[in-house]
Amino acid sequence: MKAYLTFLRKNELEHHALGVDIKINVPDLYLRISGQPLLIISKDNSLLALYLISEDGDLNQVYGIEDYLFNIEFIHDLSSINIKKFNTIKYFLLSMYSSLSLSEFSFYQKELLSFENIIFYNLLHVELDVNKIKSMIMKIINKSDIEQSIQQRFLEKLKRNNFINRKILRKKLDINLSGYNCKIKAIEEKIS
Amino acid sequence: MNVTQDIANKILSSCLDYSKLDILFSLKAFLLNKSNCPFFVHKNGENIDSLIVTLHSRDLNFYKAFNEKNLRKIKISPNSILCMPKNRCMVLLNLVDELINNLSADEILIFDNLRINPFLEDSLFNFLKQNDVSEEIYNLYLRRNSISKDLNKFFLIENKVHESCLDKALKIKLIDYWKNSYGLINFYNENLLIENLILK
Repeated sequence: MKAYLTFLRKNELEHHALGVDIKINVPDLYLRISGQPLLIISKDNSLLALYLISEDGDLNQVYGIEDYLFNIEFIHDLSSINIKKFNTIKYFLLSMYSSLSLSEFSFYQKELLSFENIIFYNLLHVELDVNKIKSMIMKIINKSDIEQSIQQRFLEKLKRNNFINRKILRKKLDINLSGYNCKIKAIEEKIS
Repeated sequence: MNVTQDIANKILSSCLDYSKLDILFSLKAFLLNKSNCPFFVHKNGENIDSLIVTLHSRDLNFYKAFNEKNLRKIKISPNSILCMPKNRCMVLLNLVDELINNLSADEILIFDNLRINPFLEDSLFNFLKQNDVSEEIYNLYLRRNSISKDLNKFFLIENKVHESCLDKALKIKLIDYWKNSYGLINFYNENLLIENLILK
């Protein structure tokens, strides 16, 4: 039995966890968007348990008949492979979205969520220098069907943005393991 | 030695007597990610009205500067805590809570969460409900509490397990607007005066 901390990669047809080669048969309701952090417990290439991780780092088990995390000694942190890209994308997205008005948030919600999913879906898993993420996002903006004036604002925001603090870039995912005896083990290379 | 162990050692070597309680409160504020959140310490039987009036006279920057200064007294960098993963924060938080309990069991630390974020639990209002406090103050916080609930309903802010960047950005924007009215001292001082006039 092994536990992995990783990210979701999702499109309309399929969803899977980055670096973990197992099928996840969980309702879409729980798996909202690419880039969502997940804690997976698997055995013999099948899913035993799935935990969603809240903004505060709290764990919410949505799959599995028991809390297998009590029997786990180490959580293999696959998210550390992609954490710099994840933090960079998050930083740029938050910066771009800050240019929206309150009404635009709700009016274009569907398009913007789809845009966000495309960015995480296309950029999070690839081997890519974080310095190139900005230009990659610019390309996605130009190809997107977001309204023209919003596209312009997003591009302006990106052009003006400098790179983020190194500590923030390396900040790991928040996860609250109080009550469990397991430790997190960082993994620097991809598992084949 | 890792950062968490280093900070834990600094806490254990410098914060073992009652005079260092302030430093522990500041550490707790940072570990809970509430470094600019107004707070007060209530001792059993102490008048709450005067504590609230003091709370109203200080802005959010005061609390941030106060907490940062306290952390620097024991040579802890505020950034080292801000960038610390949640799991390690929890370890330090348990240590800080234990020390606070040992040093002062009859003092309660109350954060005015709602002043910095309308989506947090209104712990100050919950505390006021259970204690004797003047009607003006109670009504002021009752009104603020209901406004925050309306805000949640209007923008359909739900507690989703995973927030997309879009959800987060909307929350950040609303928090900024909120802090520009309910975070400022003007709101509390002006409203208390108006309420006094109406009552008289």
